[in-house]
Amino acid sequence: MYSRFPTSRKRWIRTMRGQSPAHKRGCPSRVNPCDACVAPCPAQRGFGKKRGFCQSLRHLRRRGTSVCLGDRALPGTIGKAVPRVCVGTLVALLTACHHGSSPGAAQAAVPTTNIQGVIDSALEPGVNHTLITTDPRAAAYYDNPQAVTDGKRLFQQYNCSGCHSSGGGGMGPSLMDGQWIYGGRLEQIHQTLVEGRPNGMPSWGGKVPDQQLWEIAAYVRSMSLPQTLAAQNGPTPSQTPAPVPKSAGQDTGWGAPPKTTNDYGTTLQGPAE
Amino acid sequence: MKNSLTVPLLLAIVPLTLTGRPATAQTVPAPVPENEVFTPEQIGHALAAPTPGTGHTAASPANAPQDDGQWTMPSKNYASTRYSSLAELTPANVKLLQPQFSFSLAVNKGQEAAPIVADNTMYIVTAYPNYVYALDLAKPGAPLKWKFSPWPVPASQGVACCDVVNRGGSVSHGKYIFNTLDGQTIALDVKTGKPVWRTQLGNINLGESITMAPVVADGRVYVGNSGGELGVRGWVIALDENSGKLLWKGWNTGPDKDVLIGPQFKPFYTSDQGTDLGVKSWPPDAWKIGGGNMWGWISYDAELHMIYHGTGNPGPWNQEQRPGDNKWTAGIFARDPASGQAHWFYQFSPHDEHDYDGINEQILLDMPFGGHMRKVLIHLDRNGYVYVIDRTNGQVLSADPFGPVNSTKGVDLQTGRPIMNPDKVTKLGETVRDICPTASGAKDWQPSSFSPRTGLIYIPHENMCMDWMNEQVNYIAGTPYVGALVHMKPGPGGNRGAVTAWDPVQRQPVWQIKENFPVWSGTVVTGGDLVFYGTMDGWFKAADAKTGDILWKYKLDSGIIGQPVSYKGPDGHQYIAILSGVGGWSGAVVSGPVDPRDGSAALGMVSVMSDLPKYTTAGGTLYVFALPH
Repeated sequence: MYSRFPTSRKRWIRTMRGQSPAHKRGCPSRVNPCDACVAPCPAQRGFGKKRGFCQSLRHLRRRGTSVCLGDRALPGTIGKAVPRVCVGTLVALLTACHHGSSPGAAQAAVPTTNIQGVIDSALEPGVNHTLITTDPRAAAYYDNPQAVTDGKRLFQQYNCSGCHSSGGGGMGPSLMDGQWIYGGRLEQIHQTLVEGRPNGMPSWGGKVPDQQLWEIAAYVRSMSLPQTLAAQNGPTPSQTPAPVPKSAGQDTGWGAPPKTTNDYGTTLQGPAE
Repeated sequence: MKNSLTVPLLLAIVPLTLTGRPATAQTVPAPVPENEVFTPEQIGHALAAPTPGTGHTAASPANAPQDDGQWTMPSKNYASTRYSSLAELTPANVKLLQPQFSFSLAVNKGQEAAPIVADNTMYIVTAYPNYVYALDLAKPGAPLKWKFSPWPVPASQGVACCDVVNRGGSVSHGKYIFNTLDGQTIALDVKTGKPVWRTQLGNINLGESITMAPVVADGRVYVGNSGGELGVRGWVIALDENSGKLLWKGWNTGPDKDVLIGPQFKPFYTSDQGTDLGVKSWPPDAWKIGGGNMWGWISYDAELHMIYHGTGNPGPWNQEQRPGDNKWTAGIFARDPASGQAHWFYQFSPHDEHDYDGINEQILLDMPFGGHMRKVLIHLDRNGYVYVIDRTNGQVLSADPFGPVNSTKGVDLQTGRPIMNPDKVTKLGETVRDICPTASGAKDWQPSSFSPRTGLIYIPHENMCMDWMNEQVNYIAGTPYVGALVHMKPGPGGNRGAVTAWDPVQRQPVWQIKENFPVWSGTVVTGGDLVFYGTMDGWFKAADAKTGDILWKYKLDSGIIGQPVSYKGPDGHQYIAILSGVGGWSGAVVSGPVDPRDGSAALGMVSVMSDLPKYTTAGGTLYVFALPH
């Protein structure tokens, strides 16, 4: 019935698990313990009592706030083997990681001047601190054409497009306007993806392989780049995403708001009457 | 200081750098050509020819009792006529109509609710965060009596497909009953504003939200869920009016026992007969994430002791992922109000391909048809047809197009099924162009009104079409489950909206007012033969109910997508009330964080509404009008 769909389950699983050796079956050894581990585990409940891929729910539950959002059923898999994404909020774990297991990040001596955007606070008094969202993992996703291309595909596959459309927004905010509520450096976008945000953005940490979250972050950042905007051809933007230049990581993408909130005069016709 | 040299310089730089906007930025697409849609003649009049003159069309007294000058439920009465018999305002004096007072709602999102008037108090529920205000109409300026803040979970905003709207509440037995975006039904004591009960019905982790106005009748509160764009399985629930306790829950997909289909179920058409069709008409298990939500209008029939409610679109929008009729989506149920047991069902759009939810209002009338008076319900569907249905058995008596239609070519009344146009079947990876009506329909949720004086239905609606490409979509609970790339466009003629006066007996329009934007507000018709409605660019208008001439208009602070009401104030004068506050699906480009450069944004609506920010800004204000006195 679904044979018309090209995506086989195997291919989808590959997608889910990413290409990186760090994300291979079982995640036996991790370069960084903060990376999400996507491992096979028995389905907990819901339809299709089949095996699927998920962050071990019990594993997550030991860490407190976890919730199973349900099943991830793909075309071609409904009623057969149902891959699952079990959902756990890894806030405690991930926060610990940021402080504890990324010492390299904390000492990377990112200059505190010229950094705009979300205010980050140090916990220690009197320390000329670095931003806690600095993360050395981000570096690999700057100037990386493959990252934004992969990110574009994942943005669709994980339903990011369902809320954010092709960058213009809808249920969720626009991502192509260069305005960043929670910061526009790749670390900050990644953090938003991992943790979620209170007005409806789900948390994806532990549900999506971490490398993929970085790739999605790169694509999201690319949407408002002048090169990406200039490449728009037709009514659907962000189809040819430019790689995110390293300079975007210094600039954060955050800036003063436009002169007016609805300044569409340059592109639109005025009222007819 | 202005320098003539800097002007061309700025013009050259601004589009590319400061705003970053490409030269190909969004403009409203060209209208679909006239010859792309079927004419009524091509579709043909269904079944019997019109039968005028054998009786007077009106709602029965049980469903539309004598008007007491109040407005206690959004639909005015059970018959959903939205007819106010007050006649102080007339075509002769309406030009003197002026604002009496206004009130800021403190929420700049789409305001779709009807102000409710009971015992000289006005009750308003806003869009998220669903504040409820009670205003004392007996005092000058209608001061605030109380305000209630239900504090819905903020994350519920992330599962609301089409702005964070609320379609209103009802007053019954000393309670104001309404729903919240995060899935609660709450009854407030009208005297104190304190909750009498609150019941959690929806689960946002599954993508469920509630935006509809609950219907209170016969000691029960009827509620349905939203979430057809998030793979949410639809249901309708009855609560005990006094306690808020669950009485029954009828699912709109799945096995018969879930749907409350039993021995009483006698659908008129054979394609709705059989066991467990809510399972069998889907791929395995797809009904569990198949939509069929009830976020529009439920009608209670005090005469036949029945409730009628539509069901929403099947999910996902990509029809290729769900072969089958996808029962019981995109249709209408008649249920026993006490048990929820289904009596009949009719499917407007079997295996819907175009997001044609069946949740629009039902107007319950006694009407001549085929030489006899029939008990009918009239339903203006998203798919573009005016359905006249015998509400005793679910038989479709007639189905005539009231908007641009080419996705179907009429309704086969032998089978009850629409005749699909193969040219407009949606496809994976291929854009099918100029499908009419658009996904939001020839008409969306915005309710019509019916005047027993003119016998006409005043339909606020859209004139829009779309390009559609199916995309493969994965189900992830609590996230969108759509699978379509849509770009909407104006329908033939280019006017994106219209108000049409429709004669249900003659089955044709009597007059039509064309509007630049979709008419996303409801209409109200009065005993003085005036029709009130609002436009998305902020004009509140009064038209002559017999001719369609615009007799008065007044510009509000924001676009209008609310439901106007007419009531008798404590001073005995007639008042007209409306909420401003543009938004909703069609207005998300103004009220939501949406970028007009992405035509596919807001589920393809931005394509056709990208100029709205030039005409209005977000707002949210109650306006009340009356003649000087």
